[in-house]
Amino acid sequence: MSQDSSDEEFEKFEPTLQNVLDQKSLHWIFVGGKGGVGKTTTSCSLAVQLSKVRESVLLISTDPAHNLSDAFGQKFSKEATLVDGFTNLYAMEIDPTSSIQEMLDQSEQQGGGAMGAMMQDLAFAIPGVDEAMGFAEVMKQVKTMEYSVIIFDTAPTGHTLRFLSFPGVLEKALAKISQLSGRFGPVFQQMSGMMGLNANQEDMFGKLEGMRAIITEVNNQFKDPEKTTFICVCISEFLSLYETERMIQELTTYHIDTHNIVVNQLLFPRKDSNCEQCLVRHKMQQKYLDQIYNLYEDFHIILMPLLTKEIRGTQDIKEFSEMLVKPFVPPDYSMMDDS
Amino acid sequence: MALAFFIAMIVLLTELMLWFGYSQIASLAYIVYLNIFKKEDLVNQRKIKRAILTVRQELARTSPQDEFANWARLKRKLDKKVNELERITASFGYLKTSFEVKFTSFLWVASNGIQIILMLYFLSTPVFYLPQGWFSPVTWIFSMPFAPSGSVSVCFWFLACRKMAKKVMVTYKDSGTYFIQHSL
Repeated sequence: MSQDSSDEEFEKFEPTLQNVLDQKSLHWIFVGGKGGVGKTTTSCSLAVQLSKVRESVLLISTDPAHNLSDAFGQKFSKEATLVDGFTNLYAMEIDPTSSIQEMLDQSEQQGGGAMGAMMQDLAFAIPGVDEAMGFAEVMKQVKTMEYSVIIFDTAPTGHTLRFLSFPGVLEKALAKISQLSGRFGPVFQQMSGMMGLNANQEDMFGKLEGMRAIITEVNNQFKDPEKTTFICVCISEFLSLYETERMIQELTTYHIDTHNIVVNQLLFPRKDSNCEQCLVRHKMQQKYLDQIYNLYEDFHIILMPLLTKEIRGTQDIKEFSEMLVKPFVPPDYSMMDDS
Repeated sequence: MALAFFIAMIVLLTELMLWFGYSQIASLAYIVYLNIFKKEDLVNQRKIKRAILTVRQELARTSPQDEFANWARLKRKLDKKVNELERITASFGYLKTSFEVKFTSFLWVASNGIQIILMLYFLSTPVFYLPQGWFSPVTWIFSMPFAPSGSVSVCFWFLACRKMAKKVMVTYKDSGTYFIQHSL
């Protein structure tokens, strides 16, 4: 496939992520795909490459499985930490459960009481709470704009898209609340006085309005193809392809730009290989790869090989990241010594 | 006598409409309205429905494992058409509700309005004169409110006709069910 790439490159788009590195206006990059396809590896590699051509890069992961720490071999927390060996690459792992715990402890101190306990049970039961917490972080970043580009390593649960649609939903919800607050404000204040809650109404609604402004801003930024893009990571198999197609269609309905697909874990067996599994798998992968080229004509399709070792640690990630910008060429086995 | 007859007809018409049901009439009127004003939208909707059926058949014939690209393209087409159909159906639903509300209120205003206008116009006109002494001593009731004494006023005649019409409707309905019950 890579041997005849010179001809097809004129028809297809360049099979590298160079376009992402070149687009200086990009501020938010999402890396997503269903489980086990190599999202973390790709996002870390992309972060490494971007750190060479940008002022500062922040890599955020909302996956409770602490995969960034595993990938770089370094403990990260919910504060942005500089990655060892880099001067401008920072990583952050948002642990939703601990964030909520903190929030609740805070509110208890302020005098939540009974409400606090109820909220605690509720909060842990809500699916997508990871997304909400990650989103709070996003909002903070929007306010401060500290980093030139922010990469999201999304969770494999598939809630990513709900997270991305969160701004829209929240905007509408807040608009309604603002409307209602105008009408029911006085009543609410009386009631809260009766129940003994210390609800400072103006303060609360002021904060809500402020939140709403930020959310609208985030919404606009996510829908702007100059500022935000989504990189789909998949493997060359039917189910992954099906999920990728579904994800791309959903992204289109949310008006989020996507024009890169990384196909991971590709096999390039020797022609004289006698490994039955490799050959059969290679054939299957080629079949689906053809379909990918056929269907996604206006996407950059980046082919990444399956390596013979795990990609852990900064050095491995650096090596792997080179293949994102320089297309991988499988070694010509016929010229090598058979030893 | 012409007046009496005229009023009786109007009341009959109103009662018929009421018995038939404002909503029924509104539905019929809506169908007529659609066919006159929104013919192209209806045709469009039907076309999309047919297109959806064909695309769906083709999609079922394509195997996603073997021809994923084609299958995905067909699926995209299908989803787009289904969305459009949903949009059109929703707009039709909205149109129907608003039309029916407007039409029903128009009917109500028209029927009651005509009655009130007639009553006001013929406030003091007698419909017909009662033969002397038939209903005394309460003949003055019939001439309320402003008709000359000894006659029947428009208002009262309206009332009488309405009561009569209602009784006719009820009898008709009962006789219908009576026949059905006894013929089975």
